[in-house]
Amino acid sequence: MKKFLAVLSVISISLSLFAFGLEGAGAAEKKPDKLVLMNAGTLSGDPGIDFLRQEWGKKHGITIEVIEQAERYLFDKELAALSSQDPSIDLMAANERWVQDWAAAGWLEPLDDVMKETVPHYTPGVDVQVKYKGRYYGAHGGNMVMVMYYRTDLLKAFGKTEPPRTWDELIEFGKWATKDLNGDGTIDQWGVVHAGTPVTHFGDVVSTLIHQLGGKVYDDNKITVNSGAGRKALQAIVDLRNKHKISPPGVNTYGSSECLQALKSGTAAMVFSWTWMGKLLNKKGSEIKDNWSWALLPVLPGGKPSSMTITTPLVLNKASRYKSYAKDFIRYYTNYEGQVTEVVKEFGNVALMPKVYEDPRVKNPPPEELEKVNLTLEQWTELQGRILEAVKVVQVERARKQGELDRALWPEMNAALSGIKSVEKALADAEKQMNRINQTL
Amino acid sequence: MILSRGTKRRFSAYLLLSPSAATIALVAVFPILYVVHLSFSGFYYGNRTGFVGFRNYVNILSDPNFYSSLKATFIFMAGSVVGQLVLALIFALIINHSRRLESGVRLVAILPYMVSMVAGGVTFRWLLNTEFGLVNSVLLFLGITKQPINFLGEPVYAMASIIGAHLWCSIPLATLILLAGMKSISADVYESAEIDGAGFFTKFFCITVPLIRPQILVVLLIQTMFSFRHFPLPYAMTGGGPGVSTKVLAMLLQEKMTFLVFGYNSALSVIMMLITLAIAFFYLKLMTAERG
Repeated sequence: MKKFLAVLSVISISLSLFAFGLEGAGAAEKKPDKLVLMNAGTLSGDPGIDFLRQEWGKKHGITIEVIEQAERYLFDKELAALSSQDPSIDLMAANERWVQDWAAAGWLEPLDDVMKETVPHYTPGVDVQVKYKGRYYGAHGGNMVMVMYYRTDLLKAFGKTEPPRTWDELIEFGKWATKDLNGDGTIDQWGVVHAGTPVTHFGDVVSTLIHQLGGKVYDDNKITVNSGAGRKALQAIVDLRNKHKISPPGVNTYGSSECLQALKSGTAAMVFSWTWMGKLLNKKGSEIKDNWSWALLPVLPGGKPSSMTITTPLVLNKASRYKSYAKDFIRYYTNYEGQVTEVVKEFGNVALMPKVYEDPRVKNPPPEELEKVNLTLEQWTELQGRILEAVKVVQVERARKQGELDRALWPEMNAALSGIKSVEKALADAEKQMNRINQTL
Repeated sequence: MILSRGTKRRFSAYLLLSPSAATIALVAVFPILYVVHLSFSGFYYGNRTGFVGFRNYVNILSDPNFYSSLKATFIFMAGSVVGQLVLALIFALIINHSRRLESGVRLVAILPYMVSMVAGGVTFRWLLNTEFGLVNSVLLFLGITKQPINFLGEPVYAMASIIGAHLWCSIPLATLILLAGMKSISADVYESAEIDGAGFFTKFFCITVPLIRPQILVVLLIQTMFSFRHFPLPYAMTGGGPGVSTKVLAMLLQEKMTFLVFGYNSALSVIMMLITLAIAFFYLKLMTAERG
């Protein structure tokens, strides 16, 4: 009997181990037929993640079903699912500003084992926003960096070959480029355009300049935006519109779509924005086909180059029933190999690992990928090289309640840009409000 | 127990009313009471942490954002209500007088009401854009202005633009209500007045306006309450800017909701409800006096 039991135990253990081997990471869970991912926007706009989910699906025999959620409603939908502990959505493309708060609320599964593979490849410090109390709760994907788009034809006409690298050079080129082209008395080509509304990324443009000067904005909830660096940075950008008059008067109402319109219609010589627009600029309907490039934002006096990143990090719903499979997909998408694919498949998306840009697959992408965005290999090489420059100097900050803090800060910055308040008053008011929000932590 | 006929009748009346009363209590009264309950609660990321007394109300009343939003809301409401009344009166008069075109004009007048306000707001945002907008192109082409107008980027213009867009969206309803009132006035009254030598303005101010006073009050009541709680147009057109000059209370409410500040949010809802009730009470008093 004892012998029989011993043999039975050995067989059971062997079978278990065999099953573990088959199931891999998902040993403790039933293998799902599908995982559900809530994506930020349509899949057609995200060819990188679309390709990778299909590849991973084929490999594991699991479909990744995607809910294409308009970005405007993404937060509300994801919040509803997470707070109600709804297990029907396993993965979510979130926003770096939300991760800490959702982790604090206990809605996310930690992703330490995923991130320990990728973080060593990162530009130092870019991982802080997805980290809470020493643990990772999001993995970067769909990243973009802040750059300055510029018109190469105008630059050439201006007698330069290199884009402005300093703020003075920017103003000089901007003044030259601001013109009434048809002589009707109104300016129809502007020097500099950027998002300026109180609800979009105007704050990120200013933050990039603050970082150039070594300043901080949120600094782990120690609000320091009303500093010398903060005032100097905001004043510099306000002056483009109100003093130098090289930004359009309506720039304080511009969101991303207006920036894209200014670029595509050829009414701006330089635009500060994220890299997502790049894939559209050589396509039909663009007036600046083959006449554009991008570079780092020009540096303010006394500063050094800097850029920012926005991401749609993947987070794992704690209520998911298939955590290990979901985690495996996150790993597949966000690790080095996944990011190489993403950079190749989705021009304008950025890997936060500088090493990716040394990869031969990124340096020599397949011709069909170049065709998709109408770029030559030379253009691709130059543009990816400039992205690498930005990736190397990316600086991000984290704060709890960052979304709410932004909503206090951005209208004040917009008020300064609109000439309603002085820069000093706007930043003092913003700091007061942000500190009020911090008191609720 | 033998019940009197009167008691039986009352009992059956209450019995018949009870399903409706229960439904109203469930879908209207309970949520209101629940929000009042939440307004006295503290929250941590959407989870209730306990009773906090009047802390949320104190927070709101000491928050400068509340006052700037309250100001924006009242300006928006006043502009919308006055504009709607005046323009709806004019449109209703025109439609009432152009009998041959009436059905066509009525259809055209109601069209804006069929458009989603958010879609309308986004369209207006592009139409009014300083550099790419059609409105500025037309104004420049006609020589009405020498430089483009920053409709959505200057506080006064931005508020006027949002009010203008709101008028476009909401005048049809007001027009139809006033038109119904005008239709109910007997032609004999106007004929008698004409025989007495009354002109257009005399007829309008001495006959039309007094006889459609109940409809005017209904328009005022509805539009004041709707405008006070209005959200989509400022959200889609200006995002509350420039600065916070067009950030109405409903936008502040939405923002706090987004960031899970449920205590503040509930207390703000209660304050808004009290203000709306005060407005409704004022108009209902006027209407009661009118009837009396």
